[in-house]
Amino acid sequence: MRAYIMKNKVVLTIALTFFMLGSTTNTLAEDTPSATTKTETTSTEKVSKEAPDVAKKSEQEKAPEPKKVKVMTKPIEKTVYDFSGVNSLRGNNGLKEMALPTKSKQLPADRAPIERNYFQQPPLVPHRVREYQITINNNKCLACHSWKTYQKSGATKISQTHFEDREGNAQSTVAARRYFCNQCHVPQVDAKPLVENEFKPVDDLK
Amino acid sequence: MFARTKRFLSKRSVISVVIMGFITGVIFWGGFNTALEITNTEEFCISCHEMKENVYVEYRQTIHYQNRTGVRATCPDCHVPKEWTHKMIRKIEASREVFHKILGTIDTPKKFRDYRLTMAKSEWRRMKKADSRECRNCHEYGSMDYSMQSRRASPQHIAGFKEGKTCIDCHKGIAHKMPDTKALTPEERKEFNLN
Ligand code: HEC
Ligand code: HEC
Ligand code: HEC
Repeated sequence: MRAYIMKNKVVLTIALTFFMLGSTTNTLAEDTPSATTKTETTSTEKVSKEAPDVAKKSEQEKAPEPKKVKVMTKPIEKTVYDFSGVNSLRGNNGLKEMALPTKSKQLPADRAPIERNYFQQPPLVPHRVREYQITINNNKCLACHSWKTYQKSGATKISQTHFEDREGNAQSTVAARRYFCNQCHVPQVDAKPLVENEFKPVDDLK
Repeated sequence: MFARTKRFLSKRSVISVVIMGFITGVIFWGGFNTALEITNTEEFCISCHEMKENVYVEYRQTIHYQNRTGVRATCPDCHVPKEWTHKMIRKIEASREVFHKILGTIDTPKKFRDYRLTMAKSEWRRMKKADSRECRNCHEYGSMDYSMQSRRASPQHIAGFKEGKTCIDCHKGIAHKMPDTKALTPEERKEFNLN
């Protein structure tokens, strides 16, 4: 094998150049979405016994998998699928590819208080709450919104109703059913509703 | 005594003794430093299950593990000082931790939970005493642009630094879950700036 390569060094080099040239032009040409499933392997260097043949064939159709001797670069596979207009959330990418990152909705760090839409709506959180721990030991929200701290921090004070258990008995601490603030109070991203909402609050609340 | 030393020195020339001392010094110092470096990696910190199953899991959810800038703060970044003397002192203190590892002081989740406040307290005290030196290795208030901080952060920072507060006074539980602080005395609550 080694001797063979040494002997045909020139031929192999030319073949390899052609092969790479061929696959590059192929990638460039493949831009229009095709109706059928098409798989292409680009920039793979496969040196094989019938290398000159591969160079010729790869320009048109896939050659039968040649015996790999040396792979210099990782093969980049690009598959384009056509689902006739029905696409998954990942877009029309094959399973082997990474989906393009979606445009994520940004949570603003701080914003003005968000108006309420209806009577007794839990107010929405006008700031980021990432990593705010609400555990058995610690309630980060209450570090600012508790009666002890709200004045110093300039936050809205926790409602007195939150100290009542479900029978209406007053408790000395926040009632268990109100402890997990983010069950009702959540931050908002600036997202368009998926379904149009025609809800209107009653006039007296406007 | 003196004569014997003199004889010894003349037998093997002074130079060769000095060179030999130098070489052994280099080898020992190198080995010592390598050992220090190995014990200063995240892999070492989480090589025991006590750390891996408790604090490490929690830390993985936080901004110091993964963030938009891709800068990670690892365990030693926050828990081991960078400067040599402080680092040595912390390393010597760590022998106590090895001792408790052997005793199995925190080898179950329950034991860890029960002992957590004690550990947190000692870490809070250490950080407060050093003016949160390890935080300031990466975050320096002199370099903070208050106008770029969130509306909740900038007024607190301006007022806090004027009062002489340090990072750990306000930023507790940033890398792990907070311990149960109910057992703290009022004095301790004041010391740790907890309300
Ligand atoms: C190895 C460097 C490093 C060390 C040490 C470090 N941090 Fe950070 N810290 C960062 C990076 C990086 C970020 C994320 C920056 C970003 O992407 O916004 C960050 C973010 C933060 C945030 C912002 C959290 C948020 O939700 O926006 C706080 C608060 C913080 N660090 C406090 C501390 C405190 C307190 C300490 C000391 C116990 C500390 N840091 C130690 C590098 C460090
Ligand atoms: C007086 C209390 C206080 C002190 C002292 C303090 N911080 Fe803060 N810091 C805050 C508050 C409150 C926030 C806002 C927290 C939030 O958004 O959840 C904050 C936010 C931050 C942020 C995120 C900035 C942003 O725009 O959201 C970083 C980073 C930070 N602090 C680092 C530090 C460092 C480093 C120190 C020590 C040099 C420090 N802080 C000292 C109270 C303090
Ligand atoms: C951003 C800085 C930071 C990083 C990174 C960090 N810690 Fe901590 N760690 C702290 C602070 C601050 C405390 C004090 C308690 C608290 O406020 O949560 C602490 C406390 C602890 C405690 C005492 C128990 C407790 O929860 O109070 C242990 C154990 C610990 N850390 C281990 C680790 C290990 C292991 C890692 C790496 C996986 C790590 N820490 C990474 C800042 C950090």
